[in-house]
Amino acid sequence: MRLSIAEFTQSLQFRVLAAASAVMVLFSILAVLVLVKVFAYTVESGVKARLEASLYGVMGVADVMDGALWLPPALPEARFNQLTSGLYAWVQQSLEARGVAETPLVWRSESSLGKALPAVRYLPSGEFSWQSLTLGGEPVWVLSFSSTWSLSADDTGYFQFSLAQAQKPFLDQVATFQRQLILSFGALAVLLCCIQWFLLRRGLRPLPVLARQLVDIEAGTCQEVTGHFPLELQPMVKNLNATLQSERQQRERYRHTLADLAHSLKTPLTIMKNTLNAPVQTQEFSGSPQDDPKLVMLDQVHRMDSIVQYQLKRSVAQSSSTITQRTEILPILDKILGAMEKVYRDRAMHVSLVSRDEGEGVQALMEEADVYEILGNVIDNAFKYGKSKVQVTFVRAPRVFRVQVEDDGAGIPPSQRETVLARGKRLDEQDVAGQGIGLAVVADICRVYDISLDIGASQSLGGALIQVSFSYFQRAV
Amino acid sequence: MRVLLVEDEAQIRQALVDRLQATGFVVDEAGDGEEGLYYFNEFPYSAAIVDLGLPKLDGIGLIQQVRAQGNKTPILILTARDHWQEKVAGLDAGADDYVAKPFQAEELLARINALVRRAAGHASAKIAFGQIALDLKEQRVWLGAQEVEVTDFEYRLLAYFFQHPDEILSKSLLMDQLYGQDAEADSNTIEVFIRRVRKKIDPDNTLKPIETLRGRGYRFCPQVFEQSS
Repeated sequence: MRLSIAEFTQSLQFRVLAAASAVMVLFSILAVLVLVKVFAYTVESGVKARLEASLYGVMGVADVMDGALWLPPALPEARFNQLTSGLYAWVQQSLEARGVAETPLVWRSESSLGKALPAVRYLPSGEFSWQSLTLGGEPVWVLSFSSTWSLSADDTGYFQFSLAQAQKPFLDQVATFQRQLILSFGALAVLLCCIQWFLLRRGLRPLPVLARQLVDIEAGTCQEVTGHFPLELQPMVKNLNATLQSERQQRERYRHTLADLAHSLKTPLTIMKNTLNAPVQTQEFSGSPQDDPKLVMLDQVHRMDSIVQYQLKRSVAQSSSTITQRTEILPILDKILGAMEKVYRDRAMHVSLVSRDEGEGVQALMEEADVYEILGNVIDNAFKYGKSKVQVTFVRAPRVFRVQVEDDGAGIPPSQRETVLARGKRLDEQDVAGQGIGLAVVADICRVYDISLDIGASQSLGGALIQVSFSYFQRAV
Repeated sequence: MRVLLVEDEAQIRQALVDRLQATGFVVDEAGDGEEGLYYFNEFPYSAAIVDLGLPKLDGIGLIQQVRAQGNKTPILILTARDHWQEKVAGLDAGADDYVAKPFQAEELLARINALVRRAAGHASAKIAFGQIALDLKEQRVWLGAQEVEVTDFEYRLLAYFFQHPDEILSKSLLMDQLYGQDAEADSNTIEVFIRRVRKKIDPDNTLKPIETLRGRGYRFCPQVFEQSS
């Protein structure tokens, strides 16, 4: 798929390439600058060393004659004797000690003849100076040294020897070096960018493959991502497939729930329709409650309401995804018990919570809404059918955390326990006036999370005992 | 007794108003949370019915604000989503009971009456002081073993006195509770009813259970029935 420039600039490939190229260019520029600088410094240092040697040579041929400093007109080093050789020398005398602020020229090399000598700052005796000046219009490096000479028994002269080297040949060298460096680094940078682009394309190739597979999944031509992917992408592919499967299962469940709901409502709707369509004479109330049209309608409305509630709660419970929340049980239990004590205040129920400490920090591996539904329905059941006492007990086992809810009511006979749990499924099959759908919803939620729900008899209170075994995580307390 | 109904669905609201009025309640109605809050702040109620799914200010927000202002009116919540998380949230916010939609009107009325009784400190529907008794559920009055025939307004007045014993109840408060804010009843009507009720529950005029406190209102002192029995 060809991308527009705007689209390409948004791609990972472009970003990595642009970043790496920018770094490489910056590195190349800095490298060139540093290398040129180093080279120039080395060149200059070399010139300085050579000039120093030449300076000693010039000083070596200097002598005192008749109370004055003398140097031969021609020096041993030939370049001092050639015009425009680029190498110059001159000697100045400081008369400061004699109270004269002048530095007359004592001698100059033949190479410097006709050129305006630069003004070199005068140095104290024994000191060197290195300066970049102009001699006869051309840039030069100037090495100067000041020394004391004994001109006679009672006269001392202060002389400054200065040697100058034209910079141009060396600067030309540096410029050539710089040009070659720029070309070399430039070529290297381009080559590295190309290599990098190639390696990046190769490295990122699994991503377009993944994208194509996702398009196929959206089009319905395949169900999951397949193929071999690099190690870094494997966890993502695995989770993507798990999420896709979960979404598929959820869609199936919703389809089934709607189908079940539609199917379940048909029976009460049919009854209501028949009741409304019955001829007038047969609608006369015979005295029997089941013949009273109003009661029949109310009964069917109640049944439809129960069916809708049950199916809705079932669909919510079954929509749990692969990503499971952790939910603390104790705060929810406290809220529900508080709510029940409010709602059932007239009954003055006595509520006890046994082994409360065991519940500190316990987190059920379950969505919060589902924990509410389980505990809410079970505890509401105990309050509704208990006489005066409800007891909640926590029991911690290695892999499960059990919440036991007991009441002192009539209990649930063994023969009815399965019926109570399966009641929601049978709402469309039989008349279920009496107990509601609460425990059926609890059973459905437990089935989704694959946790156990047990109904038994309470040994301590004599009524029902309902136990839910949650999978849990212990938070640090 | 005066109740507040806060429900945004007009048909449900009207049906409930009709039913509550038929049972003898005076009903104020609001269609959204903000209007409901206004009514809570302006008038005293024996109880309130609040739908959780309200526009402008939702039911839980309304209840939280009402309780934060120190208003202790008993509140029954109506919830369309019968999830425990929502029911507990409503009760936690300060409601006293809940009813899930669709509901049987009888169940709602029974729960409202229970809330009103509870608020007055009565666990059961029957309130008795010595030889006089009043059944809030059946709306009947007895003096000893004999049932006392009372009209609708007379019953309402007595029921309000029974649930607020030893309290000074002003004429305007009694007017609001029995007639509502929009009614144009004459304040003398209250005096007429007080006189008639006195005759019915104290035929010999010896016990004088209903005191007149000039300029302040009336006070029902039920202990006279306990002392005489």
